Amino acid sequence: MSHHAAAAYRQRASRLRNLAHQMTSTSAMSVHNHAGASTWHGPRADACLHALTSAQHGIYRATDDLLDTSWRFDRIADELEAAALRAERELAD
Amino acid sequence: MHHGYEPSRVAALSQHCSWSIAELDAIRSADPAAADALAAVTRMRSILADSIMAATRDVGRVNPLGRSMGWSPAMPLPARQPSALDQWMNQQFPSASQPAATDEHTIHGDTIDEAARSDQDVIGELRRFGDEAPTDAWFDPEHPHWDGFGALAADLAERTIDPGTGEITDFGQLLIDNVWQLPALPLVAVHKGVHPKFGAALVTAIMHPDLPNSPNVHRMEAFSVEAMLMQLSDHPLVLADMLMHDHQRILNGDLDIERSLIFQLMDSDVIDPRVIADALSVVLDTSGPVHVTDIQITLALLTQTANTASFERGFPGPIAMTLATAFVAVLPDLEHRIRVNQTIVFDEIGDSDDAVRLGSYADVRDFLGAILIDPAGLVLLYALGAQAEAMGRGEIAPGDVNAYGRLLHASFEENLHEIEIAASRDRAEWAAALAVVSFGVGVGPVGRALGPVGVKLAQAAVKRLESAGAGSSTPHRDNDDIGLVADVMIRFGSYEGFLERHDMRNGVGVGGGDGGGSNAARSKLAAAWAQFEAGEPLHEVSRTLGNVGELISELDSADFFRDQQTALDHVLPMAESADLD
Repeated sequence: MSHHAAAAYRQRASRLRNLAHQMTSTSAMSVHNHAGASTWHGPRADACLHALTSAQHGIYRATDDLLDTSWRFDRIADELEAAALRAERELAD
Repeated sequence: MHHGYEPSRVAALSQHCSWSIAELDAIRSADPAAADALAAVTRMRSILADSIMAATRDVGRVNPLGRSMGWSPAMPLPARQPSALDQWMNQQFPSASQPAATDEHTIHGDTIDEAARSDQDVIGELRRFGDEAPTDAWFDPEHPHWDGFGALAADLAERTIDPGTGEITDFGQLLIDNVWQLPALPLVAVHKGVHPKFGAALVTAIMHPDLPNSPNVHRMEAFSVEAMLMQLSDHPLVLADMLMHDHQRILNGDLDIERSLIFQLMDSDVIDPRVIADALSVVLDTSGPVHVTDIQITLALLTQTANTASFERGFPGPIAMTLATAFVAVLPDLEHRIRVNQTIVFDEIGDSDDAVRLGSYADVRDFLGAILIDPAGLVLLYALGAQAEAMGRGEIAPGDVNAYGRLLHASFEENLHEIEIAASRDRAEWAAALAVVSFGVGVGPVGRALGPVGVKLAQAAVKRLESAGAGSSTPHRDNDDIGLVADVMIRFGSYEGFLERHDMRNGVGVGGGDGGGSNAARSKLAAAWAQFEAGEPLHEVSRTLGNVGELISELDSADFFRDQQTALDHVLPMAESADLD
């Protein structure tokens, strides 16, 4: 049972890492290169750029959290694996 | 407040937002731990769709940014012609206003079109590397910005070449066609895993003659093409194919040489000539893997290149040296064909009837002239020296030596003005003297006098000119005239030849003969050579040679001085007629 649970946590960790990679790989993270002063300028343009930059920072913070969570899930999986192995050895004894 | 916008860039911004929204829509997760992340994705999508794209739609309808800069409110945004990359992206990512093709996406790759999405990931990552690179990162391959770039380059290496055919894939061609939107793409081309064909195709695209003369073009030429040329130098066959691009049309006269890749490279004012010279030397190396016919074709293209207005000033030093060396190497395939005012053609290869035409006599004359404007081009004289030596051994007809000598003489004469401007009056005088000597080498007495030391003489002449160019401490040789130059060269050659024959006849070095007298003369002659190469005034060199003559006269040398005088009698009148004053 613990092996299965460990595998489930590892799978979740892997999926969260993939999600983080996917979020930071989108072209949304470089749209600001096309929204600068050489494209347009004015109050509304400045507001758009500010909102975009803020949203990009939000993406980076979210992906950092995803990577932290995936790391924790891997540690949980390690603990579950170790517990499962101990239980199996005790049974064998 | 100042307001304004550039319509085509606003249209591009709108398009990029549309693609980004489609990419964000593909991000899904059922994991509760991903809830905050998905919320961030939703917020980003909202900003793109509801703020930025809304603003781009409003531009041109009313003046949402305040007063527009010369833009009529009634005019719609101009339609931006989609590039091939745009069209590919549109196919992969339908507009955000259209429903998604399927709801069966997951993160793990069990998507319906996994290959397309993978390519999209790669393009997105490549674009991000290029768009977000800080300025100093472009000069520093170890910059942290490039962490992970190697893995991307390796991935792209597999996608750009078909492993079965060895040809560039459609995806690879798409990248090449859009190199100007992918500034990091040339850095992929120099990755060791990337097929050189891809790099060669990229160089051809970057050096296209129709590109504007803009800072962006120059920047990509300077930073990218140089690196790719250095990479391609490990692949001579690919490099040769690249340089010969369109050669058939050019050599047939159907395409101007100015539109060729080889001309664009040579004419670039930002690419280091040493890099071009190295690339050319790899292709033109007759001991390398490039087929001799391709070497001849490349030289024919370079001959045409030399005959354009851009190269009236001659080739830069490193390139001149490379071309001179290459020409000397192929001269044996030409020397029977060099005749005044006749087209110069390489010998046929094997049973082929398609001999490569190097060029008309005038074109080849000017090709050599463009090389000779730089002192490095004097390497061409080495060939003359070698021919003279071979003539002495009976291996080559005097007529062929004379023909090459005439060609060099004509090249010097035609470009004496440029040599004088580019180098110095000293060098111009030397050029004239060398032309005279080269003309005379095929003449029997002169050839016999100079033949044995033809190569050594050419090397010494180059060294002397190099020392003059380096600003030697010797005073300007105002009293050097062509006659004195020719006289010195004849005496050097004849003394060396005499001593060599004398030592052979008298077994010097094998325990017999007048070793004492010969050694003294040889020692004094070596001193004269050293003076000559160091750029000391010719009258000083001539004085030392006079001492050599005195020592030789003490040996059995009666016939020698008669022959020497005969050679001088042939050369000096030519020298007087060629005097620059």
